[in-house]
Amino acid sequence: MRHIMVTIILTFAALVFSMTSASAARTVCFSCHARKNFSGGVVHKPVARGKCTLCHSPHVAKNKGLLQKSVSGLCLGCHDIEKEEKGALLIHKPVKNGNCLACHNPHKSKGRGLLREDRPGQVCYRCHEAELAAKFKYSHSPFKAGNCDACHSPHYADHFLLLKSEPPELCRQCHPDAAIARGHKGFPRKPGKGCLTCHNPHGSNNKNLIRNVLHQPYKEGCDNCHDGKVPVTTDMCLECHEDDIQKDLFTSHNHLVDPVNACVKCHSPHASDRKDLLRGRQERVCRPCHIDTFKRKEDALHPHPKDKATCKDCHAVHGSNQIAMLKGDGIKVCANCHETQGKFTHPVGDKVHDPRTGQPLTCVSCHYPHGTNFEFNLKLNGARDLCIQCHRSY
Amino acid sequence: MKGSLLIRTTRVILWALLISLALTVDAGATAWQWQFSLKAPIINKDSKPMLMPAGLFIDPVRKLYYVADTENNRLVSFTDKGEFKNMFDAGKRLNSPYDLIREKGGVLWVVEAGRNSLTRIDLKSRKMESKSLEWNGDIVFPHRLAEYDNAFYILDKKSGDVLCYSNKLKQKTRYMVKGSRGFADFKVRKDGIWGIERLNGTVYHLGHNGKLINKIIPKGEMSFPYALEIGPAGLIYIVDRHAGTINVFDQAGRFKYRFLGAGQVRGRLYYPEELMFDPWGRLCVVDSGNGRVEVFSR
Repeated sequence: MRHIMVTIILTFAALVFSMTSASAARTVCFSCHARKNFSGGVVHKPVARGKCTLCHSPHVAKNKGLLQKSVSGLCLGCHDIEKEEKGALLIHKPVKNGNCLACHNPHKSKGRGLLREDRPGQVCYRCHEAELAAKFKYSHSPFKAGNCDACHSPHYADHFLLLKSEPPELCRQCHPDAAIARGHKGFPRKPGKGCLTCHNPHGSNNKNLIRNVLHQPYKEGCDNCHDGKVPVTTDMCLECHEDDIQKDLFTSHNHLVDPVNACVKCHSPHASDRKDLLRGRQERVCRPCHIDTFKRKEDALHPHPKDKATCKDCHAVHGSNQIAMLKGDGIKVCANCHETQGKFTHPVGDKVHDPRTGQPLTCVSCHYPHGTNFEFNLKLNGARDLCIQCHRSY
Repeated sequence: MKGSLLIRTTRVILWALLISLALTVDAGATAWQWQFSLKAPIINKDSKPMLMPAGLFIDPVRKLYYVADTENNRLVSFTDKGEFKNMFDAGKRLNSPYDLIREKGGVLWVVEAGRNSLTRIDLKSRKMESKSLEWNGDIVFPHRLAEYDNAFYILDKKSGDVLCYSNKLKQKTRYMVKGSRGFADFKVRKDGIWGIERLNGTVYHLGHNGKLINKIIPKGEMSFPYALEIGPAGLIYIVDRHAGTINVFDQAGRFKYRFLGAGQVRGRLYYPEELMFDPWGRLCVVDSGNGRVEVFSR
């Protein structure tokens, strides 16, 4: 009986304490911070309950905004979004960087999910303006309505471009099989996985969202390449592209990497939004096969290149006689951007041999071109560890 | 008294477990010792080190290693002790030699990536003949080359299939696995063809009749599996090109151990291309980025 009484008293005391402290916080905080900024629309639960101190320290803090912890540390304390991850292949950059506030307002919002804007699309535009600003004659309705999250997952995904699932499964959620079949009457094959090889899921100046740049044979008719019986092979592509492409394939390192047709791994045989008929941005095309390289770069403390350089700037994407299909040796490629290359004190070049290997000393003898955890993308610590590999008496 | 006996017994068991664990996990990895590197000597200012060597052939009769020195357009030979023996550029006519074999009669067959050909070089008559290969009218891109039982086995880079030709270059058998990405590398053995699938590292064992015998999915993380070798005890050795490691699996795909790593110093790899056991039980790794062939033995 005594135990029950004690429990009731303690519970009551805790309740009274929490109510009074919340009420006190509300009263004290709002004496300086305008109440209107914390009410109306969708309000974050701790704010609505007046529990400002759940996230903020009233006196001192190491973090900006007097936050008790880092932003992501605080958010993830309650919102276990990591359970969405389950070893997901892709993480949205703001999530990875712990920058929850890039998309969410921590206090109140007009829209659902405490998003900073009314619609998800408007939030996405804040970063993806360049890609999404295009105006189309014909737009896909979710894109037009700014409902990016109809197709894309904002935190984690296993599919490229953070798609919720892979086309055609994703497309089928709104476009039933019968409708797809009706739209592709007289086609040599039943439409398969490649919805995006012809259609732009955001918009286009062509009807049915057919991408803007058409491959000439596709424009003229399917039977230019398809006979409905055998798949279109690399050899068939080379029949037209022998002069421009074949020489790149007669190399020691090339991209002949698909049993049926290596060309269509990267290029759309039908339609694209790019002159070179690539299936998407350069990185997006390379990533599915070279995911480990991309991850290494993304995980590096000092990634390279930092700017918007593309794979194509250093790599000859069809083939070359250099390692990793580089456009030149480990000096020439770097010198395209780094003007000081070869003009500094450490000797490099054909006549200078790396004592570890006997190979000509180049930039990649010391630097790793996709980035490392060491300053200047060095392979080891430049203060000592790297140097003593060659300079033993250093 | 009973308590102390129990403690002593537990201690002994724990030590035994610890030692056996250490032996199983690390024994394989630590057993491999670097023996020598095959490197072209720098004799004078015009000497060139090997640049991007890509292929290796071992002649057990003449006890020689032959290396395709791809960027220098030459072939380099070494003794079984790792000493430099000779260089050969066919009168500066070779164009990106990528792989090679030497027949008993002194005829070299070289995959020339720059010509997309299989080139026959008769060393006695000094004749060189480049042959463009086709399979049912389709152009073939020779990548890896092996000889077994008087037939040539060629990995076609384009299809990823292994194509078997007679020694007169007549089409014989096509080795492929439907639905796969094609092979990145292969080896021919008495029990059939072993191939490693591009990107995912799945190993396929096919009979000499082309029928699939076994599909082995290696259970261990690899970033870019690229080449394979089958060890004398049947273990599968896989080169992870980006990690610079050799990963060893049993034929059930169970991970056994891993050794080496990425880098430039001795025993480290940079862009390894090929893996091969020599007739003397040594494991040879064509370390393309470091311009050498690293030879290890137990």
